[in-house]
Amino acid sequence: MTLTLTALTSPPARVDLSPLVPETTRGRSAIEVAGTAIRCGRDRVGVGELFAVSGYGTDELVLRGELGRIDRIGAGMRGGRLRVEGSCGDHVGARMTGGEIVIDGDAGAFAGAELRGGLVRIEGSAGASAGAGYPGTRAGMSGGEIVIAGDAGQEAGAAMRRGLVAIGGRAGDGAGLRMLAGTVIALRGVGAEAGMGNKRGSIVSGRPLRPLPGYARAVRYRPPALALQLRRLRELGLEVPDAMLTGAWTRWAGDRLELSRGEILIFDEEEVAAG
Amino acid sequence: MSEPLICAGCGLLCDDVTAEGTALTPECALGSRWLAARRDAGGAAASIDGAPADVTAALDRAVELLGAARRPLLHGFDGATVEDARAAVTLADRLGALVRVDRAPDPEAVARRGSSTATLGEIRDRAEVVVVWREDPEVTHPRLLERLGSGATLVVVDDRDTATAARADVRLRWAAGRDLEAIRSLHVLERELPLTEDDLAGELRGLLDRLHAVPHAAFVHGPGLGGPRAALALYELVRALSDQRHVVTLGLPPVAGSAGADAVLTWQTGYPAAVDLASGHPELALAVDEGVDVAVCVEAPARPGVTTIALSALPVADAAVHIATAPPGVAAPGTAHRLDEVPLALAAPWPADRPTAAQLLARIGEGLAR
Amino acid sequence: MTEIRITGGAIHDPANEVDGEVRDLCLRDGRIVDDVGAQARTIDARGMVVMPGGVDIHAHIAGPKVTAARRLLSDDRRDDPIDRTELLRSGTGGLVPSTFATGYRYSLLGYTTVVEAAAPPLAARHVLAELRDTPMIDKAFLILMGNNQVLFELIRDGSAHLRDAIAWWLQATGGYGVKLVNPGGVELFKQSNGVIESLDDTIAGFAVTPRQVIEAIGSAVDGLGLPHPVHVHANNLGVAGNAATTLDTMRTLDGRQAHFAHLQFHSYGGEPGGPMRSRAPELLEHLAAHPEFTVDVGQVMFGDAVTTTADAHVSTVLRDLDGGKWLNHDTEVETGCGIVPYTYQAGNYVHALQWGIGLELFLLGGDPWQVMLSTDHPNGGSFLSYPKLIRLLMDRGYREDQLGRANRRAIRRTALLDDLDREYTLNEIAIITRAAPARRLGLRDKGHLGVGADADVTIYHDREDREEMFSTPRYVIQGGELLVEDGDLRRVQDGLLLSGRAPFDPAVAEVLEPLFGERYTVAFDHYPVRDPALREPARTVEAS
Ligand code: SF4
Ligand SMILES: [Zn+2]
Repeated sequence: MTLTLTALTSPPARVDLSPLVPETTRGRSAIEVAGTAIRCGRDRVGVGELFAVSGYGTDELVLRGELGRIDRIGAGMRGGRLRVEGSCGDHVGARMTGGEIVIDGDAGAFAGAELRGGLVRIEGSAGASAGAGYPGTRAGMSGGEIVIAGDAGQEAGAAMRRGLVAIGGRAGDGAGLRMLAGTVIALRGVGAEAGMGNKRGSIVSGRPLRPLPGYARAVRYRPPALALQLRRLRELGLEVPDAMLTGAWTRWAGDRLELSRGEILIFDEEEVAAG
Repeated sequence: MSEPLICAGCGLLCDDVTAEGTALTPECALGSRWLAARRDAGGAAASIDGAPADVTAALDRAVELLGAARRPLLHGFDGATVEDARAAVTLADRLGALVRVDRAPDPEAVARRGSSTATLGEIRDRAEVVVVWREDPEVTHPRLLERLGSGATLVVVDDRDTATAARADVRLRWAAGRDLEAIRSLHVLERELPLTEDDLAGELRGLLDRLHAVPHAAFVHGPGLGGPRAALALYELVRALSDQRHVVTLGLPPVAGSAGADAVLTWQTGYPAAVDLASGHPELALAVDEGVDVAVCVEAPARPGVTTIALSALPVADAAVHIATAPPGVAAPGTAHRLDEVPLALAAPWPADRPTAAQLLARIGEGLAR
Repeated sequence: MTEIRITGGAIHDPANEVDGEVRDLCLRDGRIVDDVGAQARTIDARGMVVMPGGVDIHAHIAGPKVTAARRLLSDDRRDDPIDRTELLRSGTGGLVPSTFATGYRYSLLGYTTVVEAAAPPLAARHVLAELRDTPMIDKAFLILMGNNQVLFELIRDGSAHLRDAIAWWLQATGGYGVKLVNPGGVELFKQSNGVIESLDDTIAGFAVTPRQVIEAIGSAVDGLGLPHPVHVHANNLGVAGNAATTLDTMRTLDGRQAHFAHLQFHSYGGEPGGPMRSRAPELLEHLAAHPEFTVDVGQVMFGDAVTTTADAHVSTVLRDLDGGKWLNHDTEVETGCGIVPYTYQAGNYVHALQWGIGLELFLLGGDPWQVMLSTDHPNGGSFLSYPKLIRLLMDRGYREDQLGRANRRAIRRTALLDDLDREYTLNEIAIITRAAPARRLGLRDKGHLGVGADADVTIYHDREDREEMFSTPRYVIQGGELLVEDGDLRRVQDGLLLSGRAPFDPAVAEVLEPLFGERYTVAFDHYPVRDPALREPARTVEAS
């Protein structure tokens, strides 16, 4: 039976669960795992004090219950599968290099921050800074995929260098801030102030948007590469309207205050109306 | 009798002041209010749940609360000294607490790209254009314009008719929501890139011409410049302008104690503004303070809804424990950092028989060690 | 007080001409003594190397610019946390560690005294407060005087009060000595982003030249007899062809005691803007003829660094090289400050040349008493890279291996391929890392192991891998207390603040006060640091 941790109550303070990932629990019994020390606020407590632990450690790890105060789930994870049945705290999957994390509910801030590889799927919404770099970093997310079925908060994909942040809903303001490359897609549109300092990245907005000064309207076209990417989003389970695959997009080039090799692609609503 | 004083009524820390009663020379209404509130702070030496108590009992209660806390926070520092902040970070380290300088400037823009700043004297003696960006120093830092001298052209960006705007040589009146766009447009123009023409273009060109015409300019900004992205855009603009001339920014902190406390936090932990020590080492505290069960509030208003140990010269509403401190700069000496980071030694013209927050924090630390 | 007898170690005490002699060393009451009682704690140092504690003559560890660098580099420290323990404060490391971490790590490296080489006097309270939070090591700071407008006026007017003014400033701040950074040039940068082209350029608005500033302040410091002579960061740092400026600066100070900081950055041939060459041999020749001068090298180490300097113009040049982070701060009347993170790459021509020139300065036959070790931490690299640098100097095989990785074209332009077989001896390392810096700082009780000296002692395993050896001393003793054993801190103590002092005529205040009133936004009375908590525990070293 898969190793399953069920939160007993909401913990008294925020918990750092990063020590528990499939890699460290594989081959360990429930009793062993329950004895592992984790940090709760400023104290170290046994996992068993906060979670009912059952099953046996395999490549998969399941978390259940009230997890809103559980931070750093799967942070630094290198492989295996981690399933969160519910909503979780901040930094889920931060700096992970491989494997897969699926969150049934919402994730807090910095979900998939500085992701190196692997997949983070969030069925609900994500807080601020999904797939972002931590403050001051010159290069954030460098690989992997983050898929958010709901909305994302501010500054999704900030400082990212490679990889994909795909948002089924809306992205908050400041998406793609100072991104070097990589792609941020929000099917229901990105918020204001997107792509400040963007060097070579792509920001894709499924709804109209007025880009910041520093972006210049380049072309209205049907980008084949984007269609490919959108099909991939479908494979990842996001609902991509057909019109977006076949319709016209407007490409804005920028940030011209930087290299000007980045872009914001905006879906042409008129085409929807026409189609 | 008039007493020489370094006023800590705002981040300017004017050190050319004398006080007679609570009237200051040179005159400053904000400074007088600051002094008046502290000269007759009065009240009980300490209280527990609102009832007067002696300081020792209050300290014992504070130790008890903190000893049991799972997620302690030390915060505030609005009117604190460098010494207070030092003691607070020391205690936070021992406790594994969160530390937050409540009114510290957002550190993100600086961490991303850096900034260019200067002390008051540099701006006074060199800047020929001073752009005050949606701040009203005439109210918040009443002697700022006087201390920056009268040589520069004063440009005020604000759509409100503030006291500062009334003194402007040039007014620019777009709405707050368009600041980022305006800064970016200036930057686009500075780079001689085409600008999508809109209603601001003319005013922006005019401002840029003014900046281009002088060898030195300064931007004065603060919380009015909504959020870290706007600050980032401003720093980027300043950087671009700096290629051909010398341009700096001057941030206006909303309180006098934040600059020093922020410096202490940075030198002791490596990180500014808000630091989480719960893991046993400093981490930049990025999330909100959700889950805090006991707060130590140092020379600042308490947060509603949290069990608070207030160490403060001024009364603090709803504190579980309050210990009255000797007001820094009035009754207790200490170091403060001016808004341009110049450190000054606050005097104590009217010493009082009350402890400083630093002393209380050290005693709490001793209590916890027992 | 503890008594310690260190037995059986090979003593390297070049100041007393002891070179590896095996004998006991006795410590009592924080001093080195002839003998101790039988009850003394014994440290068995057989097979080990015993040296005085390390003395860093030039580093940047405290004050507003260092804290600004910490703000700028919040990403650099994240993977280098330091946990709190019963004994230690927590902190973060990286290129610019937090204050406690700085003290701990210097101590773990066997250093017992460190000089912060560039403090704006106006920020003295801040510098002092940070130093007070930098435990373990004894520390001193140099005050920036080379772009001080008040001094410009005194120099222009040929004022007889210049010496008194300098002595007053040291007294007012608790500083140890006087630093010139790009004299006149920082003022020009603040005026107009300008640069000095010749030492005889006029500093606009002041009718003085850099040469006059260098000459006047150098002479004044020399005349005052301060423990440390004027410490010069010459004009045109980093610019191709700047060796001419450096030589000109040296000629200007001819016959007076002076220390030249990070000479590597000032040893370039070529034309400004053109390709750089090495002029290290010429500079070494000049030094050989001028025993009144000393230098530290300012070696660059391949890898990450952060340039942190009062020479703010240089930072704008680096800013424009790769468009990365840049921080600038102008301090009224006194100085500037620029910070840019920077990476030295072995394959890059300029970086490899800089690296090679540093090694030339060390290896081309200079007198180790004149040429001291520094990386201008964190400008050329972190102080944590000193052990690697020591290995480069002591281990020819290792050095050749590293040479092979550096840009060929650059290395060919140095003398490093000319069969340079010099390998530093342990005594020479002891000279460039403790004996010479201590002597140059006028710290008579430091940098040697003679009777009466401070009981600052570092004991190393004598390992073939010199990098390993110098990275983790077996024992570090400071002020007679055992602080470090095998890479672990055993005891924490505050180091001393070392201040320099020379007598001055108090009437100088009447000269300075009106000049302050015109220029500073801080009142004259509020300028001096009086708070004893900031200035103690201190040891004052008097002028002689
Ligand atoms: S401006 Fe600020 S510091 Fe100056 S006197 Fe007024 S309140 Fe005090
Ligand atoms: Zn230096």
